[in-house]
Amino acid sequence: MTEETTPPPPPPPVAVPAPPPAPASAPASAVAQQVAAGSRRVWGGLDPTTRRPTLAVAILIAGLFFGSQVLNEAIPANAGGFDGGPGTLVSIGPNSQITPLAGWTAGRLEGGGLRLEKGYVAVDLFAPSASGTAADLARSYVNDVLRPSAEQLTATDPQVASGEAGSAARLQYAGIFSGANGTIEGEVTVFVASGGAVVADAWSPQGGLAPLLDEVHLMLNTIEVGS
Amino acid sequence: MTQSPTPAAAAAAPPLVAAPPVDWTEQVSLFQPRQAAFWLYALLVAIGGLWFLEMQATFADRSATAWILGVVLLALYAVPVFLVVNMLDLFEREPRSLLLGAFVWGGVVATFLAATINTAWSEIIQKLVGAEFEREWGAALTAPVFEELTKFLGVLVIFLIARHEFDDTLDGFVYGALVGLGFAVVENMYYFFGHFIGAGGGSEIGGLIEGFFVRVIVGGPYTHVLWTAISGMGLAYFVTRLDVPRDRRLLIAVGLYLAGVGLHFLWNSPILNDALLRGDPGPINWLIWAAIKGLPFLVFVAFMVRLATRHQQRWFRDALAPELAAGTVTAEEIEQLDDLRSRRAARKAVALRKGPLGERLMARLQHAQIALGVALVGKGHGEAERAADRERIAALRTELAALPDVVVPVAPAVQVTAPVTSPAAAARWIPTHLVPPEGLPSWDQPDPARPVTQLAGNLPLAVVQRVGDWARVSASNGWSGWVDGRRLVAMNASAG
Repeated sequence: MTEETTPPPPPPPVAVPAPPPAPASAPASAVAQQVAAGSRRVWGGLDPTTRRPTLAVAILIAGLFFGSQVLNEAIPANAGGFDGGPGTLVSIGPNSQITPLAGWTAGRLEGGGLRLEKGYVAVDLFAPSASGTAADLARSYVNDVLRPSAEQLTATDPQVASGEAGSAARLQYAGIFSGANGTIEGEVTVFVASGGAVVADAWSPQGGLAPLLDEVHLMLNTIEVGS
Repeated sequence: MTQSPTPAAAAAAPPLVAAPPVDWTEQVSLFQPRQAAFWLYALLVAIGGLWFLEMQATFADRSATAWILGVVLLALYAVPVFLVVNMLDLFEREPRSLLLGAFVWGGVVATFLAATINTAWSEIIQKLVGAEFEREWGAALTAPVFEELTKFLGVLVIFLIARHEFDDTLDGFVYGALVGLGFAVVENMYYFFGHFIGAGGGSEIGGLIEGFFVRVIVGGPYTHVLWTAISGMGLAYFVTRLDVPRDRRLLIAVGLYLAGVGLHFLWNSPILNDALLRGDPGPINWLIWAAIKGLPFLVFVAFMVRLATRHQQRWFRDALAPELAAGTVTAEEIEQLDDLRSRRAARKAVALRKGPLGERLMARLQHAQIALGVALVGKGHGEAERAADRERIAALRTELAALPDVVVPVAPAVQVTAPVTSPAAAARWIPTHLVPPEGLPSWDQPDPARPVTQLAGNLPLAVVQRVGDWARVSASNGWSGWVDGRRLVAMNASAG
């Protein structure tokens, strides 16, 4: 004999358990997907009619900005084939030398001397045989070299600095020179040490010198003066 | 920037160009987070801003006095140019934030980009062609190409941020000119310190003044403001003159852009330098040199602005023409609204008849009529707004008509203490108020700075008009003047 029993009531509905919490460090791909989704949301939230033209403008600006510099770097500075190049010692005169920075082209000047050039700016370097203080040599350079070829010239008084290695003088000038177009501005720096001297004349058309002046000064600091 | 060829294509990709008719009622600010161009603008201003601040700090460190004086001198140049450029837009002035945004792009972004790109290309030319050629022609070859492009991109970015603000060709002129103005101001400061100050043994202030003369007095009227204004006009022409075939619009836009580049090239090139600036050029040499190189272009730009203005005026007249029948505006008033000079003349004519208050009412009437015209040209305003504009115009017109003509008061002692009643005046004059017992000061115009005439206590007066707390009153002998309306005693109140 079997005892009839009523079937047990159905189990109470069980709530669907919440998914386990996401691991503290989601896989990189998931993060990337989230970032990408976020970017898409941001991008998608922008006015669709101007997104593409704006992207085109951004690409044009970036291309111009970076492309110009990449192209400039790709073209060798010493395309003219001179004996010295950036980072190597280049002779200015007997026992005097300079290390040009990257981007500067070096060439010899007629009658002796060295010219370093970058863009608008030229730095003419001489190792004069005359002796004297740095200030005297700077004045002498202005009066004997610059003034004869200038139609109009004004120059500051030289500012002098001296140290254990020697002394230096610096002045600025501006003028109009035969054969040059427009006003030329320049800065003359004279180094005197160990019985020798170097005159450096950094010049450019008006307004061109300032952007490269720091670079010029950095380069002039590499000058080694010998007697 | 393309125009969708078919309606179906237009639905799929909304056209970038502003759709006709032009809408002068939109006012959009620079802050548009939904526009990608706004974020591009913000990013570039942030980057260029650091460069700009560093440069200014260097200048100020070198000579704070010269830097401050330089800022003052450049403000003396920039503020009037800003106002004049803005005034050329006769009917719908551009939002200030966008104008400022254009100026900042020119001064911070375009200068930063152009300085970097120019330097790179100057070195590229030197390496490829030689330093002598670079020094002779470098500035003429690099600056026009890259400076004009970076400035033009500023106008384009402003357009992409707030394209509905580009309603006609003049808007492109305004934004372009302000981008150019920003560029010129920052570039001039750079030249003051990079070339003029300290060069040649002169004093800092002397160098600054020389720089201001050469860069601003001589070159200011002909250079960046005009070059970018003309390329901006080209862009605005392309995106707003949809009644013109696309190829023709493109041709004109490209032509105007190239005109700006070409004139910049001519300005920077050594052409004419030998003939005019040889030796020690004096101020006259500089002025002649600049006039020869720049004046023809200035005339050309003035002609282009005149054409654009006439086009704008035609639109405006056409928009207001239907209002003639309703009397909202008269034919004479439409003529008067055509330009700033005729508007001012009309206000002055009213001022002669009805005094300063009449002049102010006339100015408000003109503003209301311009607002209605702009609303009629645009599609942003509904009929309700236009009806409100019409009501405002009607109210102002009524107020202006009610304003009595200016009457020269007779001698106060006679008129106030012993008013003489003329039969004609008495027939029209009905007193409404009394002067309070302690008396009351009066003025011939509603302006407390004017001479005072003391009115005797209990003098009967008729109030003919009220403007705020002012009351225009007349006496039985025909004298009229302005008093503090709050102090008058109403006749019925007095009786009661």
